[in-house]
Amino acid sequence: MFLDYHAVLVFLITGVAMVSAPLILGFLFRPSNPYPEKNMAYECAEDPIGPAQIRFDMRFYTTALIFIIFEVEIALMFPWARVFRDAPNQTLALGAGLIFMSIVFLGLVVDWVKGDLDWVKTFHNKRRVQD
Amino acid sequence: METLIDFFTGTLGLGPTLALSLAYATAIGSLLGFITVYAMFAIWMERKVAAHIQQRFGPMEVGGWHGWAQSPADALKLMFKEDIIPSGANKVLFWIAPAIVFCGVLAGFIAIPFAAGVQIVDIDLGVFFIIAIASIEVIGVIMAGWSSNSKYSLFGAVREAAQVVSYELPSATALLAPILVVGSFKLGDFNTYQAEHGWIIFSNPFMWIALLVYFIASLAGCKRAPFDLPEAESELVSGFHTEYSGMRFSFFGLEEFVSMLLVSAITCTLFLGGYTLPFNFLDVANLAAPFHLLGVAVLIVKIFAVIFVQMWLRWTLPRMRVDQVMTMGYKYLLPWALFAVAGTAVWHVWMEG
Repeated sequence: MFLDYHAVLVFLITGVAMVSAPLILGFLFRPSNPYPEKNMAYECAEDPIGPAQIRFDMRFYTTALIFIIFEVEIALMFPWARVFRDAPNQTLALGAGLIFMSIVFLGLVVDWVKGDLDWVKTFHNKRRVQD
Repeated sequence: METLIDFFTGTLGLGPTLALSLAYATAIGSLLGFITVYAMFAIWMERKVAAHIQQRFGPMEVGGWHGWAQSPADALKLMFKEDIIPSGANKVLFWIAPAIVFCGVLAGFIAIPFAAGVQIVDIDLGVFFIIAIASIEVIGVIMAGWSSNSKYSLFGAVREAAQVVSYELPSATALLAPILVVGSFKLGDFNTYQAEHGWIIFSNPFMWIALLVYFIASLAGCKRAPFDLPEAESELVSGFHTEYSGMRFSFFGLEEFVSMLLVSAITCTLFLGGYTLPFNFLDVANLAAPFHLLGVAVLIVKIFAVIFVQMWLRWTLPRMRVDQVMTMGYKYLLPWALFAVAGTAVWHVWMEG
């Protein structure tokens, strides 16, 4: 048990080291000749206007929210799948699992009908929600 | 890992701390060596597969025989390239983003069993752990895109985050089906189960749906075509790594191939029998001491079969539109994955219970 997550930490550190080692080694060989034109952000030879850390579309926020809700629900299904085989009353375990899964699916249907799953939100969809 | 520690303490008579560090050194060294050789071979293979699908030859010059030395030469070239940091970039985030992207995928390999006993540690949360640690990648990608101070990078990063995060739902759900059958999270248990009862893919008809859903979702999770929208070169230049150059850029490319290896290894272990042979006609896991390493060869052959299908799809199908990707993930794959899990549970109770 101790060894398991000990190894995870060691491997995460190894990952960082493996990325930095060639960079440090390459520092000895590679040229370094920066000038303003080279360091300019790439926008197909146009001068970039303003900073790039701008606001982006709301749709990504909706997607992230939907993801968090469903991911938590699916994470809750993992323990059920793990013990399903050893459950004393399998029919009860099956019923519980199916009820939970249908609730998850109902959540998906609600999102679907409200049009949150559509990437391109049309006027038609908006009207349907308001009606 | 435990076998290694026992070997160092028992046979060579070393102290526990020294044995532990030596075991780590062996494990890390062999894994990194394997990943590096694999990545170079896979890049060469990708170029060859692409070329032959398009009736070209691909690399033919470097190294003599069919351009086998093309990838090492490219790696060497990238090391001598200048490391450009765009003006206005957030330097700290820009520096550590490739490391975060890479170490999440690397840590996933801890739990993969390559043959009986050839596994770094058999973590008791195996499958769950791999899903969790592989999704660290998204954080690194957002850091790379946000810190580059380039609009293409930002759009590529948020697109990629939305896509990878959406396709994690069907892939995690589809993995519930084999867990239901085996009743364990440990990846080692999947191999012992499949040696006894045959491959999980043949255990019930719903498992084929689960495999298909997981395969498609893992393609999207690795940003492979037809889901390579974050790097759509005709609209976003190169996505979140537009501003990266030299060695730092090569780590994003390396990460793509290593995560292909990781998802193929999961597909093979969970659905396609791991290191066991079909119908277990040669019990690879229980052969005499050095011959159980044959399992490594069996698993690698299976992994490369899956990787070949991934490459084949990349050069056959056109890229999807962003709204098609979202429709595919939420409206097709997620309901089918839930259906496969429910079907497996029902099958287990009524057909076998």
